[in-house]
Amino acid sequence: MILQLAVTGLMVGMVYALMALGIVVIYKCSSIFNFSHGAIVAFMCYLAWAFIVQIHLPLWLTFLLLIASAVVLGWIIQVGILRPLIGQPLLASVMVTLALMQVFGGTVTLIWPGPARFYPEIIPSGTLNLGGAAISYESLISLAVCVLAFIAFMYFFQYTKLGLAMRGTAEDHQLARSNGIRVVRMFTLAWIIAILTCSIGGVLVGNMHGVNYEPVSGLAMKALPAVMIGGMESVVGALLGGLLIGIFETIGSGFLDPLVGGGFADVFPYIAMIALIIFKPYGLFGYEKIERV
Amino acid sequence: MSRRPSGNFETSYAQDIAICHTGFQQVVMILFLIALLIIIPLFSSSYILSVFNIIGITIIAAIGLNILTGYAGQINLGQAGFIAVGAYCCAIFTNHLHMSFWLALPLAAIITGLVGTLFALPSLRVKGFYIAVTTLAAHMIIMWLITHGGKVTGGVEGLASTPPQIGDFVFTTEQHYYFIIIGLTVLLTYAAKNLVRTRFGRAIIAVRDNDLAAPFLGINVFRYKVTAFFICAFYAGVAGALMASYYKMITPEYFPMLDSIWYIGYLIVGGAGSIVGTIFGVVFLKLLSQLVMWGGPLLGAIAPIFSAGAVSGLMQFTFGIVIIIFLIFEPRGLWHRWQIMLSSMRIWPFPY
Amino acid sequence: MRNKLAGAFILLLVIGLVTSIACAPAATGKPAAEKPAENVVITIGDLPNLTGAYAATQSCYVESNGGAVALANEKNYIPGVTLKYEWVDAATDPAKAMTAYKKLLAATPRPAVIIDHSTAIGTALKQTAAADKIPIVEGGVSNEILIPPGWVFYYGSPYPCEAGAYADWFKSQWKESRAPRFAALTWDLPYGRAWITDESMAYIKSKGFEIVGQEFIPAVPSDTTPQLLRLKDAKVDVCFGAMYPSALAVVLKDANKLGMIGTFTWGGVYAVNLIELVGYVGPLANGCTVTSTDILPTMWKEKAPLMQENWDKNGAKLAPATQFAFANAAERVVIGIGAIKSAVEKVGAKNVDGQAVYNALINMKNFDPWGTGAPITFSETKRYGQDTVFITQVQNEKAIQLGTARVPDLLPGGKDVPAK
Repeated sequence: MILQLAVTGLMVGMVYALMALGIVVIYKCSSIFNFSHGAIVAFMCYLAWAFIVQIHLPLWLTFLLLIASAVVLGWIIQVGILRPLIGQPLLASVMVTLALMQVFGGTVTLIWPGPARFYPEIIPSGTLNLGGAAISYESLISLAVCVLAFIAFMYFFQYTKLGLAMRGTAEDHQLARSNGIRVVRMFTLAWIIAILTCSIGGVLVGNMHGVNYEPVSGLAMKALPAVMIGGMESVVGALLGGLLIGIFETIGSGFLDPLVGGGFADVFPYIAMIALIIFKPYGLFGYEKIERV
Repeated sequence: MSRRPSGNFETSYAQDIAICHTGFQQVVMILFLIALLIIIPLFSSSYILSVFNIIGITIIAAIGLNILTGYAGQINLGQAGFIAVGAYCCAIFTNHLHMSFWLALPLAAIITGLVGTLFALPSLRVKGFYIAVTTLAAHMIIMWLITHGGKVTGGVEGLASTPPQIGDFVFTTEQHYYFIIIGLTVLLTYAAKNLVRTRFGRAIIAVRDNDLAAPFLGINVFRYKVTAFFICAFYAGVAGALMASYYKMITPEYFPMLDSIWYIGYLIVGGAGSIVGTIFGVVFLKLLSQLVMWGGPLLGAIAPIFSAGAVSGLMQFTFGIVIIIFLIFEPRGLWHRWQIMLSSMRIWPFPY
Repeated sequence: MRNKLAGAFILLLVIGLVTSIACAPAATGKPAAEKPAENVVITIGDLPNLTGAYAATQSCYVESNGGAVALANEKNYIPGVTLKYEWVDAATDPAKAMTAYKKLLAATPRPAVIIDHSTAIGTALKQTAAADKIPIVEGGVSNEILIPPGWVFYYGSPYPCEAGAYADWFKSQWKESRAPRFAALTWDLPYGRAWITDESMAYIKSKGFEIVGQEFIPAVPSDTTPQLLRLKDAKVDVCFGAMYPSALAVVLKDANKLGMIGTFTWGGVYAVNLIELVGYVGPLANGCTVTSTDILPTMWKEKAPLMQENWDKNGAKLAPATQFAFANAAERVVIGIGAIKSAVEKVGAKNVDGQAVYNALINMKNFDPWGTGAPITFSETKRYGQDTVFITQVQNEKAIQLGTARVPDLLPGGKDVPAK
């Protein structure tokens, strides 16, 4: 039982980790917490559905179009909406992401009103038995996709020039500027990367739950405790945080549900998060702020 | 901001921190209060009074939040949870314990304040955005406790509360509630305004601006943070008790997590760090959501090619877009814009 | 320059907002189409949830409900009366629904009945509707709504009673000699937990079931293996629950992963849309059963021609999967229309108000909701309408109606509650 719970916890946690990555990338670069993350995940999920089922495009074209849409959307959000707010109080930008959540939610209901939709059957439904733990092909593929995405993003941040520029921007805007990095361009890039992770996450979650606004955006917001546990500025933290939350959830419902009468999976991650924050106020890998008078 | 054409020159400390500085402002304030407390309730329709009531309850909670987040700088994303505590306390007192509403209200508010101080404790170690998420977790834990509270809280079924009464007179209609709610709003706004222009207010502003330098001035940072939390939760408790009584029945669905986040939104749109700004923010956003609600069926009737679902989506979309455009034009909130307008009107036709 | 622009824009925005709210009560919703001048206008208010958590299921409600009202007007269902349909989005949020309700009250003429579609909102509005004297025909149910009897009338049968009906039906099909093992497998939400009451569990036990567990699935489940593993260990034969297909799909997929498909039957309350479920999981849905309040859409042509007409006119542009929801919602409106008709016959069209419709509702006996469902009966003490459910099951990825079952009265103090 423990093996089964641990394995499924890790699988689920990987998806949370991917969502957490989206939030962390934006926060790391521009110190804005993106409240519209869940809404964007759901929007990209619907968009992918529209490409595949409504317009009947082949899979490879959908893939490319999704990347293109992520770029366009990221650009619109940063240049059109957040750029005028540079230099203004940070809370205004945060409020804008809140309003963006309404915008995306409204767009989804506007363009695709009606009952839930489904992706066509691309992944065969079967089960793999690994030493007593049953794993479905679907979760295996989603695990593989998440791991690949993480490896790609980590490679990008560590070994490419652009990734280095982003890390520089995340550390100090002034210094980055004096090194010739266009900081505002980096913001746009951060948003594009975040929306890319949203698209991947959206398609994976859409496969699990169907293309349905509430469940998909609700699941994406479960990444919040993951971000907190891992630290808001750390990519590795997002990974670890997501996995931990996945495991906490399955352990919570596996062992503690019968004690408290059910439904503990929803609140256990938050309790764990508070407990951890009391001991490590900045999360596992977050930047500790050293303040001087 | 210039109050008089020749500049702001006060001759005493009391005059300097007064709410109404000039005679003109005093007259306007009195007229406003007369309009608010006498003319509006007597001549408005039930629907308009209901809008006022909702705005009044939200203002109370938002002002409490402003004291904590705008003035003391501790971001609190759990306000809806505290409101829930107040609402459920009031409902439990009036329903199970048959207390009078007038006793249940202050009791519920005090209990909520104490719950607030409980969740203030992590603020000793945690700062900035992390305290925000701690309060978010507080909200989730409070809601979980309420939903699993069995017969005491009514669990998921909700809890009814008995209406307030004085002697034989029972408060039932919108008009009756208007007097209680708006009366309390005016009172609590005045109390908050007083709080922030006294020593307490200056201390928490110091904590917000630089909580490392504040102790050098003799300010016990932790104690002021906890007090600010208490006050914020107290206000939320009052709002919650009013809510329980006004809605006559409360369920856990009345306090979703998103509402907590929107309370910060009221502050930002109105202008954090200013009591009157909060009022502006709440009024603006509530009126906008009313307009959005009216717009749906209207648009559906005018343009039948849209399905009703699409129309409601369009309304939600518009709500978000209006807020975004507003923030792009005025990121510091309505209060800032109001100040600028007043100043420019006062010194017109000169630019400065 | 930017400052001036910003200032002007914001000033205009605020002035516009305030004026539109002040003038708003004058504007009303859909104008009635070509009504004879002498007809009395009676308003039916509606609170569909077009945004929020229930948006996916309820997106077609305005079309179905407005269509039913328009059809009633067209067929002159109530002579001398033109019905007016007013809707406001309740957004699956009791606070917004309360505001929407107050807006409906401001309509002219004042609504004689209001239709609502959410347990949470119905519970929240119960006291207010009683104070305002407007009856609500409700699509969601909980014991809190039904007891004590108030101004909220639920159109179907309460969930605990549906669970009892399902247990009866399952037992009648049970071939083996041992006691079937029963477990709850439901949503951890008010809607999901509503059917689990002392009375319903006592009834199920008294019918010879062995209760082996109670599992709750979170609202948005990512993984349900812990719950299913416990049920597997208990070797459960039958489950009952209340959840929407998106969550049930996750449960069935996980059950498939654990090799449990076919070892147990899942039964659910009426609101589980079987067609949508088949869309999610295909053959894994085979065997899932629902205690439905309505007949199958394929039977409309024969048994409910008016509903078929409503669908052809107003629903044809919607997806076929919405047919269940379409009929559900329209059934509630039809009950409202029927109550208005009896009220008109009793007190005359000009005197029809909330109280008159309330009186008509508590005296409603065996009202046929245009053929779509079982007959509706209310009474002074009974606030739920249907005493029969249709057992609908998925076979070969299609929804088939297997028969009907009597609904036992399992409310606290009900007739069929087993004695201690």
